[in-house]
Amino acid sequence: MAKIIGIDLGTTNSCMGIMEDRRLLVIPNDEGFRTTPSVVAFTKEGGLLVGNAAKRQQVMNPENTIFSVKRFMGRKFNDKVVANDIKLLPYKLSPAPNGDLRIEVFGRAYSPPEISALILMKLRKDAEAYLNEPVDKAVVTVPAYFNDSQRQATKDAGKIAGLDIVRIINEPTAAALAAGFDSKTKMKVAIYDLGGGTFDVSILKLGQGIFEVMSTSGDTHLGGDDFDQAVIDWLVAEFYKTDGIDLRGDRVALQRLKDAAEKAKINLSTLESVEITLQFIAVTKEGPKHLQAVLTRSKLEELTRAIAESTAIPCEKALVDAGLRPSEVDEVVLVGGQTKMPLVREVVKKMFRKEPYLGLNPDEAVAAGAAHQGSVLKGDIRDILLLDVTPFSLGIRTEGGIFSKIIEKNSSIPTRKSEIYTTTKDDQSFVRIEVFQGEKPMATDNKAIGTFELVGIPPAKKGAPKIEVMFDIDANGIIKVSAKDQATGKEQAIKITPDSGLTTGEVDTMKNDIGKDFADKISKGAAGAAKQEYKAAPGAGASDEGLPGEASSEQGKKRSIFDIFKKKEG
Amino acid sequence: MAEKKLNYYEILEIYPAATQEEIDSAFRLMLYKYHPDHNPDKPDWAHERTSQAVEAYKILSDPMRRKIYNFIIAASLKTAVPERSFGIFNMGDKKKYEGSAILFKEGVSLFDTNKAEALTRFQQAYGAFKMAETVYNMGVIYTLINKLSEALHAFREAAKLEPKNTQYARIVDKCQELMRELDKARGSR
Repeated sequence: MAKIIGIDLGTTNSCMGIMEDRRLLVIPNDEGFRTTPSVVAFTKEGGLLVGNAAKRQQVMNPENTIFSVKRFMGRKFNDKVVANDIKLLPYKLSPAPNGDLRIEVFGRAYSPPEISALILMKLRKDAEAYLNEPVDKAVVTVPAYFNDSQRQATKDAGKIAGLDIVRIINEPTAAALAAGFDSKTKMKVAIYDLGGGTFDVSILKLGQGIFEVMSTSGDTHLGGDDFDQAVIDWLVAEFYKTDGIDLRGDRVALQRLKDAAEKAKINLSTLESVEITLQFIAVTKEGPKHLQAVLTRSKLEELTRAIAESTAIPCEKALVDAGLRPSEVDEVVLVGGQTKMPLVREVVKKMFRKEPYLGLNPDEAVAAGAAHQGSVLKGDIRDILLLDVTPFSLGIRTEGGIFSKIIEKNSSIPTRKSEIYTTTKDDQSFVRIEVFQGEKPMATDNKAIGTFELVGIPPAKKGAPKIEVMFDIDANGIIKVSAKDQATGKEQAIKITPDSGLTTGEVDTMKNDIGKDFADKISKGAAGAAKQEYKAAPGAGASDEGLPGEASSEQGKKRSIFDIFKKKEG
Repeated sequence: MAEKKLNYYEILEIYPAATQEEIDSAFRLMLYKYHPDHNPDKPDWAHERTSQAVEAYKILSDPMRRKIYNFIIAASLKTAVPERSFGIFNMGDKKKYEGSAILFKEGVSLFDTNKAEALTRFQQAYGAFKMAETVYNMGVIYTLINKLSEALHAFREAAKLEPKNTQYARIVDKCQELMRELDKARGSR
């Protein structure tokens, strides 16, 4: 049977893994990095860049560099979330004829799943090259709060990329699974996930393979990028003080500052002080100017303390929503690169009053969980059980527009539940079953996800017919609803497919177009050139992540005027 | 469904007195056997079995829900009222009895689809002619809609009408015990 890889398709970075001989193998990308930026760029020369290469030119080519596409998966253009983001984005969003959101680059409109598909194709290609065999199946993770259409959009991305997403699992669940908290002991776990651009905190209740999400909270615009920005602002201010030049207007300088800030931040998780040197950062009449600064860990902590401490509020909210005191949480699992920062760990420790669980690499935990699940689906592992739960209640609209819940939020899946309903008028010959998803008491305040009719009910007094409405959710989270007249045995059923999103035809067309684009353009992009610049050995240690190896002489001049680091003794 | 509907204990293949550990391990065993991920060749069967086990475990693994469930299976609906004979001088009562019995039947037939309507019928039936079965059924419905103090009141009424019926007396005891435990659980929270 073909291999099933696990993919953490992140907002900022993606990571993939596979279980081999019951051991986790993180699959590095073609540049040897264990995570790949979830960034897609279209260059003016008609090239296509995905991953590190796209990220490296992001500041210089902002209109055509798509990042954080995950925020827009399964969303409508008029969504509140979109309205907020649109002001902050350098690239252009537009509405599709059906109200869905599109991303416009060089006059072509891309759906979010298409952009995601490009990332998945890149990951798949790198995985195939690394494993030296075809890969066509994957387990992909999504945030616990993703609704049906967001999950469906993720599946569509897989289809466009020619990758069969055999299972979608929740990110916190994957992290808990990777930590090995799956089985006999019952426990409550907090998953603190501080990624590049988003912060999620989830409280899970585990036991007997069931991973119940008790609560989720977070901040969709808080992450490592904010820490980087604090460093950039500081560097810009320092440079202005010493040289009187404002670097903020210079895109090339800003790109270099961003790269340098991120690297300095990462190194300061293990070092006490780093020197940041950016030569030729500006040119004046008197000649070129160089930026040189020493950043200590305590200075970094001073710059970013407020950001780190702001994560405490969502944590508190998650605890309140779960009805727990901090002492009732048995373990705190850290996910996301930013949690490697000692200051962040300190905030977590203060909040939950315990040392976080240290057995996992925060960058890889989610991908590791997905890889585990892939292995279970392949049949290699039988002792890990995972029962995910439905993130929303499901039910139908009944008399007076009242939402009658059939499946409660947080029910383990697979599940099957039925309720008996009846007619409201004499001789009513049909019933219309309107399916909704949500928690509000009135049906229309929730999200309508499907409608069908059961016809041919024999004439009878109102209230006499017995109509059994049955909801089925399979292990993949696919919802099926059926209605059966118990008198006649007549039955009508639908499979719920989200009302928005892409049609099968569209997905097929996109698969051809995007697949062709990817094959034609990816080689044309600057990926080749960029690749020579950064070389790290595959499987390099986690702390080296995102860092190029030490500059070597043959990497040429361009490298030497790029970011240079001198490590100081702590 | 031709199959007899199994109760949660039967689904997990355990005794009603099973300990929490026994319930946990029974559930794990069910998942190993039935989970669709482990049975790709018969997905429908696996889905059905797993769904049942999940539902049973959800209730039985929560001590309070399990207690309520135990009480609900003990208190099942009465589907008929006994025939009664009335003397020649009690024709009025006989009429009332017959009217009440019709309402009782309607209540029973509504029970599956509409608890609120069924309750109204039983209340009307009880208003027309006092029978232990009717007020007992009201108690059953109150239990199901989570109004335990009303349920207890109804069960007591039934026990008062038929003091010799030990089933009613037992239900009253069980209901009181359940309420005490629920109070205790709420207090400790």
